[in-house]
Amino acid sequence: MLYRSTGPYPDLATAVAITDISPLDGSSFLPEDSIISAVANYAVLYQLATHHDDPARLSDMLKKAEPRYPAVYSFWEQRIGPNEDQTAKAWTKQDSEWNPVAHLEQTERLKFPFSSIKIDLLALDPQGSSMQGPPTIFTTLEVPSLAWAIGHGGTHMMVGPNGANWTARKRGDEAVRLMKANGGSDYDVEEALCLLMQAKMSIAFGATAKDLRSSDRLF
Amino acid sequence: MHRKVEIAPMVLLLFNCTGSAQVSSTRLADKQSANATTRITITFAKSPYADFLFYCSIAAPGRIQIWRLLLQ
Repeated sequence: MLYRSTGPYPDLATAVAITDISPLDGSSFLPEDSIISAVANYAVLYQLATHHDDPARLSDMLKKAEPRYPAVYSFWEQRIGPNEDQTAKAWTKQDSEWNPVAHLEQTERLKFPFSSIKIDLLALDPQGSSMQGPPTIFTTLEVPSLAWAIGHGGTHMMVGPNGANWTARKRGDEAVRLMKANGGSDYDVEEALCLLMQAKMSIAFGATAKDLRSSDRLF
Repeated sequence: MHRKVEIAPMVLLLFNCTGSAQVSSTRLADKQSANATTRITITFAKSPYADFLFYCSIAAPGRIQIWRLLLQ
């Protein structure tokens, strides 16, 4: 059985069934690109898809999915969009009361490399991601706090090429060597820190239990 | 994935983070008033098209559930 990305809305799968639309074999950046590009009508998606890997496959998916968009949009307008608005409001309040970037700087002893971040709230994004040009965090609504989102995405920004550029730091090559020797990659080193900091920031903020251990949930 | 989490304390040392993995919320709170000066602008956005594309394009046997466990 294949799980579709319905986020916290499992009834979407029955409200607007898409079982006849084949999912993509791999991941695509098209969903994130659609919000970066402020797509305002469906036709633009076809043009946008031409700039991504496997555009023919994307175009085929868009054609099959297009008749379902009005129904999904109705569901989104009633259920998903309002929740994204509520999250934006709640996280704005959190930011004003507990500055996550300042706390991240104190903990990591690094300077945050940007003066602004755009946070794209995507309820149906199954895992979240980030980019640095411009600085953007793509997040689900299922993380417990703004501190969690910035703890992860902000750490990528702070230690990445625009920030501390950790791979060029003293002993960075040793960390990479150790990770590769255990079957990982240099990206895994950075990701490990981000996974840790998302929890540490949210714990410090007070939205996550102090005894949380992410590793307990991996088995 | 488990190895990634275990190596995190080493990464903290690499970056000379405060108190390695044992940084406590109390210590962070103590520092807040003294050092919390950096303030960046955060803006939020949403998109029905992006959510729709995630819904249509992604499906996996269990993958989504694993990530949800990590996120919650």
